[in-house]
Amino acid sequence: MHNHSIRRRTCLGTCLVLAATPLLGFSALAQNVGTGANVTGADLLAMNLKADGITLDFPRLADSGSSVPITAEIIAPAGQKIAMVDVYLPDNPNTRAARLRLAEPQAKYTFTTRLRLAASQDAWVVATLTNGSRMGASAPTIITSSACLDAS
Amino acid sequence: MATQIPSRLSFYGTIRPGNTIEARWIAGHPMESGFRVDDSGQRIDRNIITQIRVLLNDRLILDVEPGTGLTANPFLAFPLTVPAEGGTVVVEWLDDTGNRGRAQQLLLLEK
Repeated sequence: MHNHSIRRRTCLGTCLVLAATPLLGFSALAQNVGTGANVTGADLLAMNLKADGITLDFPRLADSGSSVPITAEIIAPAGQKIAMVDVYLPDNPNTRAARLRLAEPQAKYTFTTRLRLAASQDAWVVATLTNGSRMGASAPTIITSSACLDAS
Repeated sequence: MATQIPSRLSFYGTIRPGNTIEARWIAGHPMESGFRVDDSGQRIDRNIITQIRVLLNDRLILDVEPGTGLTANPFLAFPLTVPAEGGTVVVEWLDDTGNRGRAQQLLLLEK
């Protein structure tokens, strides 16, 4: 019962967000990234992020979505530093897989983690620089078994 | 949760002042997503690590907010610049049930 009501509320909230989305401009879509609302693949595409300086090491094919390793190497443009890095999986129920806040901004940052994927999709890495601008890159993967929604 | 969740921190690279090395952290956490149901159809409560903090000599250097998209037994490798005097690296985490953990490792300078 309890779970059910929470689900309904979450669903209501999502519907409201979806209904409001067309009314918002691109800048507002970009703000979604800042607030941590569920960012969609369309949001990410609409931001027209530049991929220069980001190298993703992500398998093109994975046997299972339970654990897919990703390595991102980010090099900030000259004179800029990286303050925050987000990892997005647009086709997951919760699209933001992780947010890394760098307490000491870096010109170059490399990290590795393992992702749980609900479906074959593009993984996005979005870096926020100290001047507030963003850069982002995506890499596709195909998985043969979902990890989020099955009952196993 | 009464069970102790193991976590481990290790370094890769030459630990010399000014060098950037890779630190790797792993924890034996289930990272239950909250989307799964058990055999009787009951939804399993979400229990993921919601915050990871990395401290170098008590100074915060990295603050990670994981979501449900990280795997069970979460793994994170991140760069670390070795301070002149060496020091201690601590990774602290907190999960949905209020469980906390901590992994600590000394940065022993190589000659």
